[in-house]
Amino acid sequence: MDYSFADGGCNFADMDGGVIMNNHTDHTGCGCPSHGQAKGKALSQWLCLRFLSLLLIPLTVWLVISIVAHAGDDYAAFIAWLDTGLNVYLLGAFIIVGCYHGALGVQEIIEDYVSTQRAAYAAIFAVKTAFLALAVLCIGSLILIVMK
Amino acid sequence: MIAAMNEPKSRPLSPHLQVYRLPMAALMSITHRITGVILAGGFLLVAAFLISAAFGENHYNAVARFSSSIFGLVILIGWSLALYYHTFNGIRHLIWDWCPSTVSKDKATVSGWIILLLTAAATSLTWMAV
Repeated sequence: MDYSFADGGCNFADMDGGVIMNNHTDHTGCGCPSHGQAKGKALSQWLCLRFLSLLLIPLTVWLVISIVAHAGDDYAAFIAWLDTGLNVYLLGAFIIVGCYHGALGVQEIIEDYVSTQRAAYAAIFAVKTAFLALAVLCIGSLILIVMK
Repeated sequence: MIAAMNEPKSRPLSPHLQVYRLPMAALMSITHRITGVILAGGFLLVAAFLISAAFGENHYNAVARFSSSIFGLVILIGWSLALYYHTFNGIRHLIWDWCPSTVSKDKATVSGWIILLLTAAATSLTWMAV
């Protein structure tokens, strides 16, 4: 069998079935030289993940300090803390940036370890939906608490 | 004849993880991913606090009681450990991405141990402060 990559095309061995997939239609993360557009998408996702992690560094420091200072707060104290200064906005930012970072990070893991493309797509879709639902629920709760 | 014998018959296999001792950098790398997944799961507890607070005092108290139980504390300590590791190692990855010339086997081992020490120190300091 010829495993030559000299033609610049994509010849990937499916680890499970030993099936060779020629000219597959999905090129996310395949790194083929002939798919500049797909590489552009992978690169922008890679950059996005790093940019979000940069944003998360100060937000994490703030969150850890806040949690340590307010551990064991009762309901009234927790609501009062949320209503103080920028806290509600910083928490909102942590939720949105954290969920986006988490979704992209888990997507990267799935792309690396799930060899069947259909299963990988389904898993990525499920993870992204879950993170989106979580973020919407959290932001909705924040708005409800502040409006009360 | 010998050349023919040396011709590869099948695709090269990835390392057999059971017989292959992973180097420090590889272990740190897989731990980064594992802690990332743990953080995503632990985020559910943060979400539970917020969503329950939106429902009212009784719901909030139930979540607060759960997180101060032994089971809740184990989750929180694990979450803080994962958070510190992922943050410190993430900063190292950002430095590597920003400046690839800083990547070397020896330096990675040293910085890996620094990250492990920082993670242990920060986690214990945090729980002493609580």
